[in-house]
Amino acid sequence: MLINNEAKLITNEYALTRCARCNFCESVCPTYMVFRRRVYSPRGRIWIIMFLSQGIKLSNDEYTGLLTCLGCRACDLVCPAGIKIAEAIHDAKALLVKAALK
Amino acid sequence: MNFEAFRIEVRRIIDEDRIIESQGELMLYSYDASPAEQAIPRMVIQPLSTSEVSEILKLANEYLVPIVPSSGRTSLHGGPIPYNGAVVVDLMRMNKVLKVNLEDGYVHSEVGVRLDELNAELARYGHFFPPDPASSTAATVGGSLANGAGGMRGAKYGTVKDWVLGAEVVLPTGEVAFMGCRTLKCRAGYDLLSLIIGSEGTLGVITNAYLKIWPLPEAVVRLRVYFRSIVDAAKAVGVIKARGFRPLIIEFLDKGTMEAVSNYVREFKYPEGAEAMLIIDVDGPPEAMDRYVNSMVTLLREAGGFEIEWTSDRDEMDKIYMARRAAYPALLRLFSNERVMPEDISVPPSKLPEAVKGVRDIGEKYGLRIVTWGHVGDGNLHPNIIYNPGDQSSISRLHAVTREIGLLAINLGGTVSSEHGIGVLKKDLLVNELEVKGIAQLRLMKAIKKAFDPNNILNPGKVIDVD
Repeated sequence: MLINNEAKLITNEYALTRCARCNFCESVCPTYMVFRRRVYSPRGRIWIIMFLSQGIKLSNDEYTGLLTCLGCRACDLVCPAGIKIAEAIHDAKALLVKAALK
Repeated sequence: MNFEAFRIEVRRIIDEDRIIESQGELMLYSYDASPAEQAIPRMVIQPLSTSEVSEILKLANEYLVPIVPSSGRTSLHGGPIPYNGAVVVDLMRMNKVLKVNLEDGYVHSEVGVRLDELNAELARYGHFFPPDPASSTAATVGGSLANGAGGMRGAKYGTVKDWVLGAEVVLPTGEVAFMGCRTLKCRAGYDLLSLIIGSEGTLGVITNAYLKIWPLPEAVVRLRVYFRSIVDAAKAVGVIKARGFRPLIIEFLDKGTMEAVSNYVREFKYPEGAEAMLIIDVDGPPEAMDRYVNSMVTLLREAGGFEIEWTSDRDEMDKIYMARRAAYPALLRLFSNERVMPEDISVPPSKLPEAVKGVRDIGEKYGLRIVTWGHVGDGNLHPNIIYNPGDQSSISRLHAVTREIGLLAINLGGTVSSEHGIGVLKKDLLVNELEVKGIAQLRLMKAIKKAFDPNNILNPGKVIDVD
């Protein structure tokens, strides 16, 4: 299956389009605090999964952003829309690794 | 615009890892928290200092490149969206609390500090910065100043414009100016600082500010009361103020909000017949609290309130407040296929009953569900309009509803934007408001924009259109 189709499955499974763009998740994310780049923030990461599902080619920074999620789930606790952000990112990481190994 | 020349010169002064040009990362700057149309910036630059911001603006002014200053990106009216290939200046790396000075009563902070981070630091000194927008966990000092943010404590403490002593501002020409003073009293000519506060990044880029701070309240008691009609609840707010009370917060929730919360949080129940709920925080010296609370309870009973509860226990206070805190998540989860547009109007508190009823009627007229809560102590209502982003009719009805709610506020002597700003979504309503208050002000606003930003490079197309 194409990587963007699989990203679509993740987008749908976790209903990422429910993101209300409030940015509460960014303020608790340890990697954003260190890097201060939005590809290293939960909101950034789930939007990148959605971009991936639209067939947008990712840059190195965007890949690294997804892969450096620590899985701490601090974002899940503050998401008002109740999106399981960390799990969605985990699935996207698995997808990227699988694609790289092919 | 000569973007290529700008790009080459910016690369000479800013490190490569602080210039963003890849498509995916740029798209993360294409939206805010509003339904405004998205737009992708040409480039994002992350300066570290006022002098870097100044250099960037000098170049932008020379090469006529539009610049959108940005930080927390929690705006609700499209203010930080980079239309027409603008370049975003992301101030999130300027994130230090520089100094807390209790003797002079200020905190000196860079703009990329989030409000909750600022208050966590100030709490160590027994002080706080009172403006508290609901997004304070993500919203920054810079965004709050640029948007003239308010919040729950507005009834007692006003909005950010009342809490800024002075600010360092980079003008679109690259010149740097310290506007305002570091002292409480300040009469140094025209008040340019007040023009900058709430200008939504259209007049200058704020890089750091001296903010007034205040001792934390000594004691707080939280009251919860229900009303059988929203009009009674709104009237009670008027009585509270008329009797000389200045509560820390007066939060209003309508039945729709309570219904949504009770579907989302199982422990939350509300009594039958309750059409509205108020949460009131009274603060003062511990010795006076019993007296304050007794008079407040008597007053609320006289005003038709029932099932009144009060507590000073932290956990119990949290339980009462949960109804308000859970309101937004409850809406997002109950209407998960739809979107919520938080509206923002103010009316004089005496007009609240008419406003609340008017909002309800507008929702019914257009067949859109509106759930209303608000910081009613200062007459500020947030009607939350539920709409379907995939349905064109729903979107046009959303626009009609926001427009009519704005006109309702104007007719009641209020304002179309209390604390969210104008951005792109309320430019028309702003003109409507100025038509009532004196349209000459629009000419003055355009002249002010021109005086600050002759080449119209700073956040163009926001707040007002210049000719």
